[in-house]
Amino acid sequence: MAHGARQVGLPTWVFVPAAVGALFVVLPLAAMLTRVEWTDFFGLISSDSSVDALLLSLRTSSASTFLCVIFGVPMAMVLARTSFRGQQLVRSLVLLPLVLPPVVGGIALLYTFGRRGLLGHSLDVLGIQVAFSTTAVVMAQTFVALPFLVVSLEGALRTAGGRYEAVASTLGARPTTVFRRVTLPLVLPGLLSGAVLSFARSLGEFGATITFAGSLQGVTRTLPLEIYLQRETDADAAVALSLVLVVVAVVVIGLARGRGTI
Amino acid sequence: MTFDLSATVKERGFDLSMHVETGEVLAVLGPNGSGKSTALALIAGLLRPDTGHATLDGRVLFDVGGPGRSPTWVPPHARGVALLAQEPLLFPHLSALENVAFGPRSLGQSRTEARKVAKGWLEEVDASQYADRKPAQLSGGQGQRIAVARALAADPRLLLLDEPMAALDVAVAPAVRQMLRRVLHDRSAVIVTHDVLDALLLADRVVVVDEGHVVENGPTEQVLARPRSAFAARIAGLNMVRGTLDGHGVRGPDGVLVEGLTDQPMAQGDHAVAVFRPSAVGIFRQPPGGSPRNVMDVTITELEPLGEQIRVRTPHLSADVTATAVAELDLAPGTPVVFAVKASEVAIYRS
Repeated sequence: MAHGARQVGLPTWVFVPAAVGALFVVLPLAAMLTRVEWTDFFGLISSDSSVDALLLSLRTSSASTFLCVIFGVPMAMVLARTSFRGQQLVRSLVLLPLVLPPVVGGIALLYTFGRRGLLGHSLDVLGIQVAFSTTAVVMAQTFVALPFLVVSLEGALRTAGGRYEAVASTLGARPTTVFRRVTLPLVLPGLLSGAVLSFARSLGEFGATITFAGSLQGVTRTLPLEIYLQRETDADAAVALSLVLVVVAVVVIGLARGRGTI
Repeated sequence: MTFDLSATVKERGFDLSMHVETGEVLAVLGPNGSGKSTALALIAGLLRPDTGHATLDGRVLFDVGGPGRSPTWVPPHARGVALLAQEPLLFPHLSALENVAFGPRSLGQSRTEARKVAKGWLEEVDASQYADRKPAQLSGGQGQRIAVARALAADPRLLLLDEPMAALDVAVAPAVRQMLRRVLHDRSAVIVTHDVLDALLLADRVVVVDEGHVVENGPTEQVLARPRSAFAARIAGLNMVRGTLDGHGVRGPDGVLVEGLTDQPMAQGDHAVAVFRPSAVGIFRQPPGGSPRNVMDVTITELEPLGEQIRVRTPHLSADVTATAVAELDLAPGTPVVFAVKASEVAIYRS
């Protein structure tokens, strides 16, 4: 497939905007690379606050990816395999965070789970305070990343179709067995690529996090927040940390690519 | 212990009933879009009818309800009905053996037991050598054999076959058909097909369906020999040579020998019938030399247009050829010609 012959020649002119677009993506990264202080690179990224931020980011992104899988897989199954009145509306609402400014998401979360929020007040009575905690970071990341998993998995489920599942059920497999032994293995590549996208989106989350979780070192200050703050005081550290984030993102995508999932 | 279905699906204009005796194979014949596959989907539980009910071995599979009857719906996995589709639809991530073991595993057998059962069924369909292959490494014919084994391993009380030979190469279809004939023996099954040969070789009884309704119903040979519906008339008209087994062929009453393929152990002198389609017959003015084909000297009695082809009739046999061939060979009633048919196109079975 990778070496499939081109069937129809492309119009020559498309190469020009294609090249400009590619440059537009690559050039800023290259520009950033030229500004990296290589001599003191490890010093810059190994300060306490930087290490805290990196570890927090990895921890919270892993947790939110886990939550995305736990909730996103059932959501995608319901959207792909059932039909009910208002399904289109439900799908649009679920995918809303994709197009919503993250800051708005953060505000929405705050008015839900914040101390004076819709549920926050009841939680407060129970002695649970969500806002401005690491839990809030994970929730903010899950909020923005969930649609990525749902969209890619729903697509995979629709592509796989229901025929194998129908055969499995006539062979005597209960719905849970069908899901475990047929559906899941069939859409595993789609699930992995959805999880990778969710992880990447969580890793880069900024707006909803700073609104809903604040910026407390070691508790809610993830790497993107750390970079933003460092930029004010120590531009070299910000650039070095940015490079770390780029490397992490490239590694994640590379791993997924190696498994042939995206 | 029987199967009964009576159902309507308004959206598809479907309204039919059918009945299968224990150990009986029922063929559902009909043109595309006639509702054949709808019937199977209803029986398997993949489609909900608007009205009607079905029972298998005295157990209600579904009942939409009505006066004095409460609605019932048994999900597909609890029906004891296995479905074999046109394509094998083997689970791509499992080996052939694991595919066949899927049914027994789902019914609660241990891994070891299920594998044992699966091995037995692979042997039954002559596919033991493919046990460790993944579906992607199998040809269409091999895949369909394994799909048959998988359906049977689930131990269904009723087996549903949805045009199981339609997606196969013409070269491998006869062998798969013979295998099916063997495994369907004494089994309750419904086979949907548009191929009259499937009906003749596999089914005890035939219903012909058109536009969602049963238009004909009866023992296979009777329906095919004296078709009353337009569809049955169009597809029937198979050539049958009855006689006794002689070598690898059937010796007819006029002494002509028709060789073909069979899967049954038969003794010389057994009563047998050789069956082949008119479209498999070639017409020659002179016997074709050096060919391994069956040749029969016949005299044309009638030429009848049949769609884009011409059906050339003789007292007992017929052949379908193009109008061009009729013109080139200058065929007319009374012309003596030679019918030739390859042994691989002839199915022989005990009569």
